[in-house]
Amino acid sequence: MPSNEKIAIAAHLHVLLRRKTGRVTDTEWMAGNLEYAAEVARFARERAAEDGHPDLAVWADRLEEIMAVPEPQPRVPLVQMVSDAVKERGAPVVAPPPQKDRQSARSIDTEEEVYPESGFIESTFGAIFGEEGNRERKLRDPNAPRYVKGLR
Amino acid sequence: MKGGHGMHLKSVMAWNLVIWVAFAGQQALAQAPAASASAPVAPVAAASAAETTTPVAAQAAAASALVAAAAAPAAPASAPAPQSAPLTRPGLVGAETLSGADTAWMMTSTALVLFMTLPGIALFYGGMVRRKSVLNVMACVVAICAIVSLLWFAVGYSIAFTPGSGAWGHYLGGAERFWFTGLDYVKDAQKVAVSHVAPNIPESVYAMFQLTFAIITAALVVGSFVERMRFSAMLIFMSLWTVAVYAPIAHWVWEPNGWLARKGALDFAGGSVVHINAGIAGLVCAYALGPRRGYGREPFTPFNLGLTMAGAGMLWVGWFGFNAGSAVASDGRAGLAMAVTHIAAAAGALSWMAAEWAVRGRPSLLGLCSGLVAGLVAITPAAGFVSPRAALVFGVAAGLACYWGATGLKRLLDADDSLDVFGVHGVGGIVGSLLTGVFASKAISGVEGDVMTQAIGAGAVMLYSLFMTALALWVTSLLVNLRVGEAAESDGLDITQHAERLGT
Repeated sequence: MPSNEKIAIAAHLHVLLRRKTGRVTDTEWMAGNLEYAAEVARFARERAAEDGHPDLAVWADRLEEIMAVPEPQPRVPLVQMVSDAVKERGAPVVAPPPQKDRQSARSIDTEEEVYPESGFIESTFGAIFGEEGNRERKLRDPNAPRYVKGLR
Repeated sequence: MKGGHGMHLKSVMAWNLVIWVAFAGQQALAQAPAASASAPVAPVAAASAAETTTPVAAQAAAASALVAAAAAPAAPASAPAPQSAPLTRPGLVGAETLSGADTAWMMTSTALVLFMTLPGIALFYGGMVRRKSVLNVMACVVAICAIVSLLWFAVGYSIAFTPGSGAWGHYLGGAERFWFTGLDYVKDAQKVAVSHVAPNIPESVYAMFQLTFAIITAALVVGSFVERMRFSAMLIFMSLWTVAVYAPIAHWVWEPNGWLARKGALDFAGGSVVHINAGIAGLVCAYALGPRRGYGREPFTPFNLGLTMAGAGMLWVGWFGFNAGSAVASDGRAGLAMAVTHIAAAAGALSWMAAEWAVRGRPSLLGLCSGLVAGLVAITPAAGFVSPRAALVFGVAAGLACYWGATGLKRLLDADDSLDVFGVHGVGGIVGSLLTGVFASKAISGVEGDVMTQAIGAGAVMLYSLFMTALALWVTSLLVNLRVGEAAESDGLDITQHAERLGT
């Protein structure tokens, strides 16, 4: 989930764009997706130059600045921590979790990407019983966008 | 081509309406003398008594006794003694045999179960879809309530709750209660029609109580095809589905002559008839309609989970009428059903919450609401058969199983079952039905549970629902497109299907 500050700036720009240009944007997506934010900023600057709305350019700059700030460290669920601790005890060498590609539009950390098969049992408890050898499990970012491919 | 389809559909619907009105008028005229004079009452009752001597009726009486032990407990001590020979089909009895307390409770339960749908399900589902289709979901629920009510009155009740004749009677009821024919109350003779399934309350009340179950079952299916199904297609499909799928299954399970009832499959309040049935139908709809545009690529942010919470609260309260009302009496068993219902809901909410917390890292409001519904679904087939401690197991198991059903299993099935009708109702119903076989207590209900029989019951309902739902969708698709167009879906179903929008 994007920080409050990102959402606040995105929401401000959303309101300005709607009021001054009629363009409707997705605030939450803007605050969470770099590519979309960059495109909105480009559009805002373009309209600022063409229509004479300097405040649009100011807020576009602010959006780009805040989007450049890295995400805070994601929270690790309790069970994840326990399972990691058990894994560490069992196997001294643990592969680092894959890095998320925040620059790509496909960086949405969907449930399907995190748990590619059935999910619940093996994803939560499978690691404790030593099943991680066959199926490398990705860390899920609890701040990842919700409601992609499912509500729950 | 599409215009032709539309015209054709309109003319078919118009003719149907004309025929309905004409037939209903004819039936009303035919019933009028029976209601105004006491003379015709006696032959009906006599016929009912005479039929009890036939072998078929004797079998039905045996089954009736079993179901009466299982589903309809003995009348309370304060009630007058029922007639000497047990009824094997609906018929007229003396008004003095009714129980006022039972009747009052059943009328209250009927209102509670209707409240679960309107506005319970409407809010529960309406809060989970995107803003642009909230009104469409609510319109679907209201329309289903209206259309299922008329169909139940016309044919559904008779198909479901009359014993039928011959071998066919094990699978389908008869036509004797079409248009509620015979649901009489004759003031002068002090005679009133009762169902053989619920001999202590007026049949009109029992028919209305069962109507609310038919309504909510159809309304549950809506959750699987939201935001993309054409409203007219929904009306046709749900009409076909109620008559061809819901009513026969209700007959199999709840009418003493139904083949699953005779086999001893236990379903106190609708674990298989309502929840497994709706879950499978939802899954078939999801596959048949295909996913919403953008599914899996963009977030479908729910409109307002506050509405969903309000709906879930109404479901929890209404479920007391659903489960405790299924005792068809205001007695100790109904009280126990109420207690186990509450315990299972609470356990379901907490176990879903715990699972979500462990897996996702945060407990969500939607998770709590879904969990309580999962617990309620699972205890539904068992409410009159199990102890409160067993209810705890039902709730915990359902919370965990349905969480998996709505997440891991959903990904495996790869269907856009949008609001997890199968994940929650299908999975919860299956879990509840099977656990009923494990935990049913003879001390409470007088019947023993059997897991294999329960599995056969659940399996039969799943198979029938699967094939017949697919058939109903296919027939519907011959009349009208199932899905709205791409542009309409993109604009939202509120504006494109109803020319309405939510306010700001």
